[in-house]
Amino acid sequence: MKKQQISILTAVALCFLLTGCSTQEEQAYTQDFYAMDTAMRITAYGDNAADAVTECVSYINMLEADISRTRESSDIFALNHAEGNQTELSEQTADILQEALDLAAKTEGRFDPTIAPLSDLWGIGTEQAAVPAQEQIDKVLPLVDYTKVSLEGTTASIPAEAEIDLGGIGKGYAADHVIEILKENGVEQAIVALGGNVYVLGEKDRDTPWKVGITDPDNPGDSFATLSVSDTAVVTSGDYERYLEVDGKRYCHIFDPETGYSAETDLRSVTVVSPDSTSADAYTTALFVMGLEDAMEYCEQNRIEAVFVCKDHTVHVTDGLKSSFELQSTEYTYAE
Amino acid sequence: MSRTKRIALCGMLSALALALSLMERMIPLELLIPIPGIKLGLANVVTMFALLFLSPKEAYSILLCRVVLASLFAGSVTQFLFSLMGGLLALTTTWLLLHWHDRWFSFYGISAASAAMHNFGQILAAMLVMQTVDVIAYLPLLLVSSIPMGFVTGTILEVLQKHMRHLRLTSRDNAM
Amino acid sequence: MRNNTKLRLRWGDFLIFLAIIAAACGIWIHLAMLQTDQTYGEIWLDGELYQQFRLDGSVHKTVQLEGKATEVTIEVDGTQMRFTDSQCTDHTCEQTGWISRVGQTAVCLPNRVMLKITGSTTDADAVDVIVQ
Repeated sequence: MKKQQISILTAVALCFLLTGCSTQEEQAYTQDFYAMDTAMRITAYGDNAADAVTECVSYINMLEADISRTRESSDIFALNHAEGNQTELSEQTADILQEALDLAAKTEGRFDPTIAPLSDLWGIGTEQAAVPAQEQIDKVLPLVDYTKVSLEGTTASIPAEAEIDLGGIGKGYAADHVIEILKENGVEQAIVALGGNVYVLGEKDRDTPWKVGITDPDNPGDSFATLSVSDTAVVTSGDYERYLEVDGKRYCHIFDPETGYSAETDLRSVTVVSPDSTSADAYTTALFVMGLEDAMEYCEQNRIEAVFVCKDHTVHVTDGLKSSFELQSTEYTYAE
Repeated sequence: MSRTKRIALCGMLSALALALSLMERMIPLELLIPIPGIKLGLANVVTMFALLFLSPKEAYSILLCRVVLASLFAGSVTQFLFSLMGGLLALTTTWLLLHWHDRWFSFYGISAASAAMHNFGQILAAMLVMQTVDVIAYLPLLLVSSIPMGFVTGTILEVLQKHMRHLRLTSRDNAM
Repeated sequence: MRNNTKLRLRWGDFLIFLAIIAAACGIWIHLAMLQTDQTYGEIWLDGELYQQFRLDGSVHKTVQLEGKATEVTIEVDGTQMRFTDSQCTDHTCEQTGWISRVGQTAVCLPNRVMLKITGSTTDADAVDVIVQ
């Protein structure tokens, strides 16, 4: 009898073990949420994934509270309504504003955080979107000038009628900090997608990079090419995101601060790859405004890696990305 | 057994079942099977005991008490549904199988069948709540786990039955 | 006391064990056979799953729902889905067009409605994320 008992008990124990070790694959935790006027998704792998992601979402909500243009309690709202007077900003807001100004200087104003009055005038993305009259543009254009923003420590001031919009680098900034939070929580693999701002942490598998798809400007739901990358941000700006179509002409939401009109170049989208998501965010805007030739030169001078999709359906890739880039769609041609 | 004694016993058993049910919550089955509220079904031991030493009516009442109280204390409507479905199926199966106890089935088999039906009930409830058939993917795993669970529960019942004869709690008129 | 405890298993017990294991295996095999490239189209409203369909070509319908701001219309055509008429302010959702592959999404921001394609896929070209 004893032998029988022992064998039965062993069988029972084994059964328990069986049930225990079945689904132990990578514990992935994903959260979809809405913030900063866009749909966001963070996927993290590892034991601490859930806690880490929750912390990230809290951070983003907190950041938005600081820099939102529309929330009355935000620093930026205060700054925009200060009528030329000095405003005290939180350290975080001051930090991001400083980065925005630095990047504006670096891109010679093609990325400009003071572009709000102009984009508001066009209203692209709202029901009031319309092509403004030249006089209206002329009136608003002088307000678009990042040099008139004064920032000393945490005290800032802008001209009375000017407005700051940090939406251009807000998501990039958020992504950089979210990655830090994930790392602090011991997460080694993650995919952070904040609207058009993607940051991939770690690798997909040992020696296997992540596959990031680039949106097809003709088919915004689909991707037409991929970049095999790890530990980097991938940011895109394109003319298909928000636009106004009048008489067959498309006016996109990226403006040329010099003309006051939507940037009209040979480009349809620009994708920047860099471990610094904040600057990548600003660069995509600036490069789009520059047009292909100037943009490629700028990239070479500043060692920026990017992918350019042109109106003639050609794709140009900077040297550093050539080996990671793969074209999938036959509708586009790769330009050597 | 006097009526008062029976009622008192039912009360005690309900409390015990409730305690087991709440204690079960500490076992993080959700890490393996991501259905919120999924449980191993330990409290079913009490239900089966009630079937053996009291009557089916009392067993069902204890089950109902336990399920309602558990979801009031620390649960939600979905919790209630899961426990109810699982508990009812388990209890009914046990009651049916007990008719052939000693000839065809031992407590081990009956307990295993009971645990299996409990899990089936939980998945069924999950399908209704989440409106998707796909939770059935977790059933194979749960089913396999009902065999060891059956041994655990069955052993408890065997031991109990042995000792119950010495106490004057049992009466001649039980469910068999 | 222990020497009396005989583990007496009856024939019926083994029947039960067998039945349980058979059921488990049966379900498992059935699911494994289904696993081949099954994609699902999902409609999410404000963070909660609203509806889910198999995108195996069998579902052809139009779904109308009240989003957070306005009404939204979604078309499911066998193996793909998209936003069609939406009363939202920017219509970016409609401009996204058809989505059909695992990982693709379309969003109507003002309404907090999101279309997702999920499922297992053996497509070697599948991307991990699309930067939009």
